[in-house]
Amino acid sequence: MTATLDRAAGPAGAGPKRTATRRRPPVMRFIARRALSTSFLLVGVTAAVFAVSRFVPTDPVVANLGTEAAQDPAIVEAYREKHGLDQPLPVQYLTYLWRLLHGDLGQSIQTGQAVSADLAARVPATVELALAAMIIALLVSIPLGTVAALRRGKPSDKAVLGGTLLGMSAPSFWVGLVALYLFFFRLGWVPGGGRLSLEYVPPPSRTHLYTVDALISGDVALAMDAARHLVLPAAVLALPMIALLTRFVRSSILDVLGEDYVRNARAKGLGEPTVIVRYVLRAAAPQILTVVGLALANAFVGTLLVEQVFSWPGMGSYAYQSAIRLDFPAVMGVCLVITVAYIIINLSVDLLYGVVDPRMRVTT
Amino acid sequence: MTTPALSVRNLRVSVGSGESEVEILRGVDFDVRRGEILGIAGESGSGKTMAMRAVLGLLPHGARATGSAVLDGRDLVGLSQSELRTIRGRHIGMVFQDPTTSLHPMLRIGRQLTDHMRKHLGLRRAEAERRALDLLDDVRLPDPEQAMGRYPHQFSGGMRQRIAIAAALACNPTLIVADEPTTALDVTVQAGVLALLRRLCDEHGTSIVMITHDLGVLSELCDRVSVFYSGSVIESGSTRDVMDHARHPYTRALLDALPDQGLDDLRPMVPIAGTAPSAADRPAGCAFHPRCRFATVPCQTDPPGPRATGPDGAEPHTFSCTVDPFELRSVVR
Repeated sequence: MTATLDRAAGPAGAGPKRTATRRRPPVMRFIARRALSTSFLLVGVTAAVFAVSRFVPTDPVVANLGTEAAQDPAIVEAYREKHGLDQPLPVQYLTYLWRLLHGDLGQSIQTGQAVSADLAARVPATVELALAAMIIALLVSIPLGTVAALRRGKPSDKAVLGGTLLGMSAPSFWVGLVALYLFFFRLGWVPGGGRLSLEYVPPPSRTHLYTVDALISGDVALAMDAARHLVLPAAVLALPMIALLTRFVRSSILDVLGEDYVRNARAKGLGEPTVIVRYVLRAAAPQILTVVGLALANAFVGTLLVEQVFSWPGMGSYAYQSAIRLDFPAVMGVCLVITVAYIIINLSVDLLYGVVDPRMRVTT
Repeated sequence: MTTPALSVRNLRVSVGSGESEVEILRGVDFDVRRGEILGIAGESGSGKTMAMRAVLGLLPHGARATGSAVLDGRDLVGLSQSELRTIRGRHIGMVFQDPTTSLHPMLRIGRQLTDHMRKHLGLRRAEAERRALDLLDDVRLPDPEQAMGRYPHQFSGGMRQRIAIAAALACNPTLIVADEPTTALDVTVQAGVLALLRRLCDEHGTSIVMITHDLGVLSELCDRVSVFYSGSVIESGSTRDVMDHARHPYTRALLDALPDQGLDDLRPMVPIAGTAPSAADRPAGCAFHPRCRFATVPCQTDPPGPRATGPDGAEPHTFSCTVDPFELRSVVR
């Protein structure tokens, strides 16, 4: 690890900011420091999740064996032994941690497979859904928020603000059902659920995102089918993000509009589109980025209900199925994935600040 | 005598309407001649910045301008924003007070120097960049090549202001409006920036309007001065006439309010009593009369018109005061 970092420090460390660098470039030091604090965070999360899962006032044995089998003490005993439920709690936890370190998330009670295998099959579907929702949200909210800011106080601005309030308060499972009824059942514009129609087989896996993989392999029809399955759940998932982001884009642009450099850009005789896109939006980008990170992280949680509605075979529906069956290893696996997703998204946002705002580059 | 670069006549700016209409600028006249530096002096709120924003068509939302401001034979008041966009940055360059905020913090210097050149002069990127290098050289920025790829925060305040001046100069404008360009700078770098403006004015024949409240800057840099008070020009003339023979009590009070400039000048510093009136609450008659040491009864009712002073044929020196308390003592200070 140190060797890689030092090698990476070579060319970058020779730059003009030598004093601030010492041996490793600041970015690498930043990541290293974050990795360290992250590992503590992860241990904490496992402890919390473990505690919650064990103190739920329901017996997983009953939940999984069924009332009949749970009557038989021998079966119950065998079941508890098989899943380690007969051990004292600290031992259970340490065993869990030890396996975790070896990449073993345990065995799902519900599917009978390794949780890591279940997640590997399902997380990409959720990632694809969340990313698609993010893209839709950005495409809608940035122009919408900008226009609202430029027309501040006018009816169109008020309409946008009112609309975003609705979008934020509408529960996504309800919106999902209504959308499904309308666009699938009534209009037939989109397929009813899942990631692909039955006649298609998934494309060769590279990114595990069907739309991207299909395009990489050059199968346009397959990509179209995947996209058609994707668009409605992604749009439903995007709705609260759009509401949140539009409001944020609007307020960050209002912040920037009064700045001297915007007045200066106008004093240079630049056209209004240039001023808005290159000067105003550019300056608002770090603020917007913060909320984009937040919205994306929330989307991972938001998929839980949306996936259920659209029979999307992702982590959200897996989490739902596991939770109602008290499938602890699976639930804990999902929690870990969400934690890691939050950490990765936050780290990416922090690193992207440096890309977007040159003033943040050296100071870490 | 050639026509002035900019000729402003009866320029008025007002906000609101009907009962609540407030006149921020009450009909100001001034000329900026070719190749000269005109100083516009006054306290904050006197309308000096508003006058130049009216000329540029960059008034705040809800403000209207009337009158005329003729630049190179073209009246800018009443032009549409799209017509003004072909003037701003092209024929009038603007330098703002604080270079920390007037340059975009996330765009490279090269970009901020070239975007308006490419728009106004139709230059290709490489041509614009070559010209930007010359400009940076011209404003004495060390190492222009490297500077082009850097961001504003990597320069000191003085260097940033030099960059801002280079950007204002980029399209070789007739006029540069510098709004307090040294106020935000350390005293030690102020002189350098002022000398740069003087040199650019002399070398390129660019006219400069220097908006400032710093009379030291005025006397050092400007050829002529217009003093603003509460939306009107109350005194104007050559810098020497106005500085050495100020006729308006307000100008005189401003000069007296300057701190000691050296050992040979041991007069006390006298602050001006009261505060400048707001445009919404302007006293009748002469706007300065409540603060004026020489105010008489007519000052409270009759707004004074401009009066000329000095010998005929010389540089005109006008002021607006009914009392003219310095009539006899105008030679001594």
